[in-house]
Amino acid sequence: MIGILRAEVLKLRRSLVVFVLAVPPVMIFLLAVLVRISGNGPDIWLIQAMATSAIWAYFLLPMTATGMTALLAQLEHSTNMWSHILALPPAKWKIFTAKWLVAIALMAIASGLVWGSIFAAGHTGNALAPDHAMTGPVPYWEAAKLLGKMFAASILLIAVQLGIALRFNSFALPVSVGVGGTFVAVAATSSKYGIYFPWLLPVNMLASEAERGELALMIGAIGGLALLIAMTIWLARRDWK
Amino acid sequence: MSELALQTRSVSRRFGRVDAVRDLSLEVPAGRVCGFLGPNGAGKTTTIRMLLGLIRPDEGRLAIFGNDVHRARKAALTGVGSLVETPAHYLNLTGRENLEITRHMLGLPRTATSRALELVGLTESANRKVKGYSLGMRQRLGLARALIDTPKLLILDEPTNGLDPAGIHEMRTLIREAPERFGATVLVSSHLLGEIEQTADHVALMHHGRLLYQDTLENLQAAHPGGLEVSVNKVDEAAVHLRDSHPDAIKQDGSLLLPGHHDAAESARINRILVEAGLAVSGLKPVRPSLEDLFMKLTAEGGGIR
Repeated sequence: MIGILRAEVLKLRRSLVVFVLAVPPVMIFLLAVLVRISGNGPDIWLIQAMATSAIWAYFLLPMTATGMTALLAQLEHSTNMWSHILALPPAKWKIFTAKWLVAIALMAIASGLVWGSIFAAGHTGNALAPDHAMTGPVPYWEAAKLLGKMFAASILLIAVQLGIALRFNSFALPVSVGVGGTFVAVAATSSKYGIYFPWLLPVNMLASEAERGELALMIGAIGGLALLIAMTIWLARRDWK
Repeated sequence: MSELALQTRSVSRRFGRVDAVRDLSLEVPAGRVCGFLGPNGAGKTTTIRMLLGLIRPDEGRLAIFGNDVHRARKAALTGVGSLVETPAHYLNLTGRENLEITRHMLGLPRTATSRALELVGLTESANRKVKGYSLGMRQRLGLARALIDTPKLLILDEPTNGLDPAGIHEMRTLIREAPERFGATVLVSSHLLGEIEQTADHVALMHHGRLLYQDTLENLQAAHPGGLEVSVNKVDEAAVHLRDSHPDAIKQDGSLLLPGHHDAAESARINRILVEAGLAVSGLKPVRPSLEDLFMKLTAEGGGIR
């Protein structure tokens, strides 16, 4: 399994996947610094961290998961690498498991980079616009906890996107599903059934009612892992023509 | 009986209403180069994909060195190198990195990559991105990947596609020498019959999803003898003199073709008849039917011989 994981990591070299991971933290940094300079941002660190995390959870996280999983799958689809890697002796389920482990790890890295960019932007903004500087304790731990929960709740969304991207030899299909899901999520935010919608699960980590957040976390993390296992079994058993 | 490198038993596979492969029972003895022949759509690639565990048969079983491909997948596919259709590579990576991926997946030592690159003559281009490789270089890289684990069975699907004449020559030599050099059995599919004739010692002919023939190329040719080509100054007169013993003689430009097998004594007898009749015989040459001739004959018959 270690060898298969090493192979998966090697495939990412010079690929666009790395670029996709770099986009959200850069965008968050630029946006937060501009807001701070313009004097329109919150005065308190914790509120600023939560507001930036909301942008991540609503838009950037689902779009990053969409782009990243589609690109990961296209590494195999584009030149029909499946004919080669699935004809090797390692069990097919190991190959698909390695694929989703890498996808999950990349989203965890993206979440970490977003965490870093929130504080880098805050400190940079404070330095550039001392008149609008934020006050209060810097919420490193609180933000890490929030982004960690958002990441765990997004596993179901990652599983859906990766499953579609691996199954279909199309870049447009998973991207359409991802974009569609993200926009539907905005409209369904206040719906009581919104908690079951994969694209909304990370946003629910900001809910004022603790139970809603906990339920969303359970659905996202446990449901996501269950779907990933089911996807692995399904992909390993199907024909690869 | 010699060990079988691969064996299929009553294998069938349908795609919708199309029978891609029907009741295929193929046997390839170890240490042979087996040409897997058939026109496009004959079922060769479907068979190869089933042998590599990429698709499942609807019926029947497939085994590599006695190990069932679907029930003992790891044992069956260990030591199998394959090149299926167009060579697939990660275009964002170098040639060496592409081989490293296979090396990691197979858990091979570092030296395996350099060795495979050297075998196909790609050492100098190994650190260039595959995106910049020609089709021939990509084909050779695909072959290097198939050879990386010193395979006991090489499955090559149209391996000379895209190669220049020098590349085709190298590929042919490599396929021909694989049993001796690597101890490998080779199953090489092609619709280019001349190609197979130069590399294989065993053939399996497929047509419309069915196996028409499998045996050595020698036996195939012996079962369908070509004839004896007699070069003579007066073809019409020669035909008259041989009318009794060879009523089926075919007149050609400057020669007479006598269908069937003719041993040395029979050739001498024919020569004597013609010389005694005052004709000038300038040559007697056994003519073997080409694989293409045999293939056309077998596919026209529809059933063939087994």
